[in-house]
Amino acid sequence: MRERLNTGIRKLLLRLGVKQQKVDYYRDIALCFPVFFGIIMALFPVVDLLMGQHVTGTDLRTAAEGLVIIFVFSAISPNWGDVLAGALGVAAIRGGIGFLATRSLSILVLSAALLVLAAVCHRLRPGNYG
Amino acid sequence: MVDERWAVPATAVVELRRGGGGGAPAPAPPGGPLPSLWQITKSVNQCAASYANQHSLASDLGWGNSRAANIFLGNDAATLSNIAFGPNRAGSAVSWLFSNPSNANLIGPTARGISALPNPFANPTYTVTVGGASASTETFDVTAISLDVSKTVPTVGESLLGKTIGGFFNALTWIKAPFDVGVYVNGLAACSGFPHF
Repeated sequence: MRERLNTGIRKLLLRLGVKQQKVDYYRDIALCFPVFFGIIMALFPVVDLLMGQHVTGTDLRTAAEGLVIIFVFSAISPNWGDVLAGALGVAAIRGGIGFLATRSLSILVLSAALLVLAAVCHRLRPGNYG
Repeated sequence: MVDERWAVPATAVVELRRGGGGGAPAPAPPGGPLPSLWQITKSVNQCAASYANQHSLASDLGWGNSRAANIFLGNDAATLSNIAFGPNRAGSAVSWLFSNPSNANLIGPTARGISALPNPFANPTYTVTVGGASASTETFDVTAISLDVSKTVPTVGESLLGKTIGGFFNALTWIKAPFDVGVYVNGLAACSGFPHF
């Protein structure tokens, strides 16, 4: 299943004109998109808690869906660590922007935690793009 | 006619009526002066920023009420507008320095700078090259042997975060920026009474 999906994505990228050597890199970048949205969904209850709001059932359900999306899409790539690192790193950057808007220190701490997680994910499974 | 849903924010209307532009509110004369071109531009842009924030990616995904979505997927064009036309200019200016997709973006150079630093947690690679000695030489000339040792320390970018983060950040910004600008322009049309989507 994983191989089939990988082959399909590779064929699609090659048709789009991506060079053979860069296919894996762009596949991982493409996979970062759904993972990034999954991370945001998973953070719904966390942000609510940090901002002093009560966590609703809908938030918890969204977070569960987010975790499934993160797992499914990052597992497609053999470089799953780098896919997660890319999405987590960008979420951390956007969280930093959110901190500037909200001036909430909790959001800054959350962003730092996301960045550390990104580094850990990359260390667990670094991508080799040649 | 201005679309009522995206009408000028209440503060801007008060400013227009008072004929003031940020300083201490002047007493409003009856039937006060007409708003200047700057005040109209400011009000319309503030309205468009409000529209853009309400139609950000987060809202379009049905997450408009979620704090997390608004924090992570806010409209960057509205941020730029807030820098130029207020309110909250200082905060927006700093935010834009980090979120714009141009060369003025601080994240790129900062990330590149951090990435280029040697990673203190990574093991350096030593490459030893032996040269000057020939296998066929019967008498071994010690002075002709050279031993080159080169040390390579992986940088933070190579070993701590990888390439994907930079690539994905660029991709996301270049997709999100046109969307944000499009929504903002639509907001300008809505706030100015022009046909809009």
